[in-house]
Amino acid sequence: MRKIFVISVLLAASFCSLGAQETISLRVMTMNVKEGAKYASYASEPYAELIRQYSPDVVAFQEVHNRTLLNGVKDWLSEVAIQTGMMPYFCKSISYMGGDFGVGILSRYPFYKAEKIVSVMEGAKEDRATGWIYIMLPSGAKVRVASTHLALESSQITIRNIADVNKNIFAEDTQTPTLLIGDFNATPDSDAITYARNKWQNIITDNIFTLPSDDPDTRLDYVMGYPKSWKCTHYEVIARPDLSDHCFIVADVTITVE
Amino acid sequence: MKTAFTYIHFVAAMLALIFLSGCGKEEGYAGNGGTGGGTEEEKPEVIVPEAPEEIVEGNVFVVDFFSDLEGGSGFFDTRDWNLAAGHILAQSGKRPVVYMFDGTGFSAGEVNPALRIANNVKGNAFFAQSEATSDHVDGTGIVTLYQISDYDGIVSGSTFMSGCTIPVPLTQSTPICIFTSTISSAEDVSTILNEGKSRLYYDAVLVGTVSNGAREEVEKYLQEDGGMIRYTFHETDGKSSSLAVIVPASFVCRDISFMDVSGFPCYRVSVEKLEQL
Repeated sequence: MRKIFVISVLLAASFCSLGAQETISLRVMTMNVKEGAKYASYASEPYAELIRQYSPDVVAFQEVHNRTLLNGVKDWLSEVAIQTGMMPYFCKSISYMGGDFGVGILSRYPFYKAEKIVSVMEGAKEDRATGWIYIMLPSGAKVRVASTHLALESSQITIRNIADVNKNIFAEDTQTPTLLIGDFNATPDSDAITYARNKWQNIITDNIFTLPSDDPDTRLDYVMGYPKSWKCTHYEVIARPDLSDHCFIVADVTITVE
Repeated sequence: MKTAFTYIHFVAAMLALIFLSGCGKEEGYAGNGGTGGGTEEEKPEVIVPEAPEEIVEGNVFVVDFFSDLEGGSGFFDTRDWNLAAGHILAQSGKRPVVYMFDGTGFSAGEVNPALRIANNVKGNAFFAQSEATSDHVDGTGIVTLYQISDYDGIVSGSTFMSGCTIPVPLTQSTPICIFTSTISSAEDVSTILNEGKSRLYYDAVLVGTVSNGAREEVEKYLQEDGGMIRYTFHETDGKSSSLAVIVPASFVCRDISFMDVSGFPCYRVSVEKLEQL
């Protein structure tokens, strides 16, 4: 009788504790599109075609032009969104050539909240935006995905940029699992990446190269996560010298949260 | 062996306690919308001052809310989004600051009509979901010609509210978040006011729908526990939902008028930001 009671209780407790965990799985992509898609003459379709091929849940863009004279005064990110059936979020860093320049996000699912910060750093040539969206996934889990393009003038300026991102992104929310994706303008062994890893997990730990796309020998692009318990089940570095000087990364990432 | 068995007993007893305390808990909604009460004690009465009769036109802004007031996601099934874009481009004078297309759907991989419209009119698009995410999600498409500074929203259980903050052209340009939500119970509105109170009591307005089946309980909640807000319901005969407008006490809904825009049912909502109460 005692054995039956003990086993029943253990089974019941296990059932309850299993229900409290949830696994978040996402396919994410990072694309520095080099000066507003200049390599593709500012067209959107070649990038949309690549996105359709890989079918990511979220794409983090850097170097997006929005309605500049160079790109024909068009909303480039919304064009890609229309061509892929995703929802766009553009974050302006600076005014540029009659329009705006910044980072962007495309999401396969609607996002219910979105925020951005623009980091202004002494010594930096330009302001730098980081933007993030909150998504409720079909599982019911919530995740936050950010696109960033960090400053490059010096390691110290990059570190100040990361610090500003951290301060703002975690100001009111330290609970939601978060991905910080994009061009960090820093190599894996740099002080800046070492600093970033205080807070963030470098999810793809293999020794990969993302620049230049025609013969990559340097890594500047990352998929970072918080808290530090993400796993990468698959990734691919995509070299398209016709679309950018950066390689793109697509990664399947997962985290189990209580 | 005896010690190990006693230890198992102890662990099992602890787990049993955890199990019994965790299961069967019901979550209710806060009965108090924002005045900080909700206990058995008498709650302080909240009196929202009457809005002045005189309207300051410079402080009035307009939202066009397109809706069948029937829920679902088929608003654009038989309607041409180009006509909606044409309506937006044809506006002059006091133009709507936001255009909301209720009862639209978001399907992964398919172009959202609000995005098409926004791209056509050189505006910005957003989609406010009204149900849990799946490959097809019901909700409201939003288009604005103004720069969006942020998107704000809450997702809590089955309650959804989202919107965008834009610089509304009043006598002074004023950042206001225009939210939308599909309200189907008093619990929804309680969640909205409790979790959104940092904005809904100050610098945000909500234009959405309330299910007619829940309207009485929602109204009761807003009257008794809504706090410093004003609300307006606009019912149309034969529809399953009513238009719902919830604003802080420092705002007032001045008018809701119906228009047929090339076969699109449209409710033009005029809201004034009060200079003083």
